[in-house]
Amino acid sequence: MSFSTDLLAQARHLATREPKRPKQASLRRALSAAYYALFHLLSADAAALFAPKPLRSKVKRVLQHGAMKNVCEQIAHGRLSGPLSRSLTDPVEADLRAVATTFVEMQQLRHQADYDMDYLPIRTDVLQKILMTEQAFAKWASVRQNPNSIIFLASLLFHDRWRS
Amino acid sequence: MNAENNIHEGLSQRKNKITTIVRDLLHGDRRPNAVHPTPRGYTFEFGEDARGGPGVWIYITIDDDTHPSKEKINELNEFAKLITDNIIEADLGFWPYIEYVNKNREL
Repeated sequence: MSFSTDLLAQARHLATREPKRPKQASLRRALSAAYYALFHLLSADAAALFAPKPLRSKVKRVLQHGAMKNVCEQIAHGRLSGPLSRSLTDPVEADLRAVATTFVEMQQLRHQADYDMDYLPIRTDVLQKILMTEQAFAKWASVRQNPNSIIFLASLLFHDRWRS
Repeated sequence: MNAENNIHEGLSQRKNKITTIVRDLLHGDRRPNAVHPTPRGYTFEFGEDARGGPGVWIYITIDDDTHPSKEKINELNEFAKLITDNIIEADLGFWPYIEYVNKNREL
């Protein structure tokens, strides 16, 4: 299994590990693991697209969470700003939009889970978010080699750095 | 008015549209069994997300249980997706964050 699928499996394990009342620590770490699972899934593909194997881990570190969120918000709306905007084939695939949508939602939840002590997730909600992330994995597998997905990956890496 | 123009509408108008979208869906036939569309069954919070972007948090009260069935999670997931997709499609300038909360939570 890849690192990203291991993280996703870990998220489900954490969300269900207490047989009765779940601990907040488990639910919060489950959400965080689910976000990072999706982050590493996309960043591994982005790095693989643009760098030879020995450099990929370093290329992944170029990725910025905030910039990735901006790109995902645009793709979720079926559009993209900047020099690559005209390269997108309309319409953007529903599965790609769903992956981008899930990324935005999970990034926010990761932040709440790690930093907001007023946030009290319940197991049912966390399991729904994990299912949503699992579905994003499946959807990404179905579209990752499409031209729009390549543009999406390029944008995740370089969006703020493009020059017209 | 098409979706592209919605972003230019007034703030309160856009917020009202979001609440209308959610209320319609909560009273529609795709509402999961675990969701009750009572006045205290859902609430909205508009604010900034962790990156400073405008967001709307939609808290939906459900019957929580320790071991929810796969069917229940599936149903809730489809419903959350339905709300999210409708709000994104309407392009009202707020990112939707759906959260299912316990009925004992103070809303």
